[in-house]
Amino acid sequence: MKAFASIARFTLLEAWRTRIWLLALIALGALLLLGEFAAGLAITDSASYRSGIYAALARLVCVLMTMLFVAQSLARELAERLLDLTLARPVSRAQWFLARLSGFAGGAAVLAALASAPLLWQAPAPAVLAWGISLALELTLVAAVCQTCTVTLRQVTLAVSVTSAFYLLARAIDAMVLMSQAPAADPTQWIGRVVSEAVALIALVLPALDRFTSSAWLRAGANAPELLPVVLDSAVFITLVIAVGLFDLYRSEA
Amino acid sequence: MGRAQRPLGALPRALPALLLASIVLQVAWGTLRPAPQAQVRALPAAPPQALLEVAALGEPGVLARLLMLWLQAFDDQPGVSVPFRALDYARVADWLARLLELDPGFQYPLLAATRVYGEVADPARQRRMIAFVRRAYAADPGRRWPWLAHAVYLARHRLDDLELALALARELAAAPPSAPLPSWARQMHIFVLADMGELESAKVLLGGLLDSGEITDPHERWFLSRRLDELEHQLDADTAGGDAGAAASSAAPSE
Repeated sequence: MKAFASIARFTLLEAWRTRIWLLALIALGALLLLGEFAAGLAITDSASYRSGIYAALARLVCVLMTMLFVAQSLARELAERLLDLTLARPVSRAQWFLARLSGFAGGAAVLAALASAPLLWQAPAPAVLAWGISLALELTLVAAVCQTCTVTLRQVTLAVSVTSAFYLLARAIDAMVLMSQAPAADPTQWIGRVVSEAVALIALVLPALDRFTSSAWLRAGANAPELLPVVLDSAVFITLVIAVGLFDLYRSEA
Repeated sequence: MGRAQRPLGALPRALPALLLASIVLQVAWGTLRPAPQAQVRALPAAPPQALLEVAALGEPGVLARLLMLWLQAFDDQPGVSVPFRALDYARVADWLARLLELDPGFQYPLLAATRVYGEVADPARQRRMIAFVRRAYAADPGRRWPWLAHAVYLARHRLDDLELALALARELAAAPPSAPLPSWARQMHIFVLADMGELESAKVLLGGLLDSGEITDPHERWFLSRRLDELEHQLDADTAGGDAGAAASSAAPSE
């Protein structure tokens, strides 16, 4: 347990020392200015421009930063054989994997809190809280996928590319399911049926990320967001990703 | 990635079970999770022009084209088809105007206005699209005249509003000489006048056009001369019919 806590703490310490938090603050500050700029240009409904543009772009920036940090951190550890040194101690691969993920999840929570804080001045606190929790879960999920990809592929470029593709697909999968079932899709064409079934099958094994962290939650008069499906979706998918990552980690000769 | 791998037997026994269980759990959750609901979204208001300019990142033409495709696909939202009647045409016109401002040489918004959104069976919406094309034409007659010609057709044959068709056709005729309009476009008002029964005006205009020497193409001169002859015959017939009617009516009281 001590080793677990140490690895998680060192992951957070690495985030602190690499000054990724400073980059996050600068990026979020720039996005705040961009939101203000958009609100200043809008003739009406300027509040939704301000919070909407900031929230949607902050979400993307946080996801990108999480991916890059996770991939770079793990790739360095694997390339410099630091993992071998860690595993030479009484630390199991599962402990190392889960501790690293816990560290990344802690970093994701801090990043989500930083991104949410400016929204408290722009939207009701319960909506901002829900948005922040959802963002933290989304970032943890992305971190888990990126960690598994980096451990499996061992290259930053490949890991970030695959994680980005996963993220885009998960954000679009609900719309793809609906489009494949749309009246315009001809059900008598075999290729249409195959595509529709394939999309439905892919949707089964992906989280519906378009239902996470919506900027629409922050608009005045918006319905209260439902966090339970977001929490369940995250928990189930992160479990699957951990299982896949551990399977590959245990099979490799380190 | 070419790494050495340990045999499956070397794995902790719980790991394959965990992997299998998590796959089953994910598929089960994917099945139980509420299915995505198709929701008809209203067309959002067009953002300010300055914001679009910023978002274009120096490629306003590309952004205009991407947004045009998005706008065009808006009636076919994921899982649901929205009839054009359900679209807010004021917002459609705003979006089309923004796209034209992003790229003034972009013809697609004008085509969409006349041939896509203008084909809706709702006179108020058709008029809105015609008004949009009219404003756009006024800003750049040289490039946008074909769409005002389409608008004349819409007003004449879809709306059956000959007054509007004539007003639009007259704007075409009044295009600056530097605008490269073909003569048929400049002559549209003559044919609209003829359709309106204003044969005398049409005849005068057509005769004046032929006498002006602007029409140099022999086939076009022949076609227009024939049209002028037809108008004259029609006018003669109308006059003869009118005289006969007057004679009949003047004769009636004496009987």
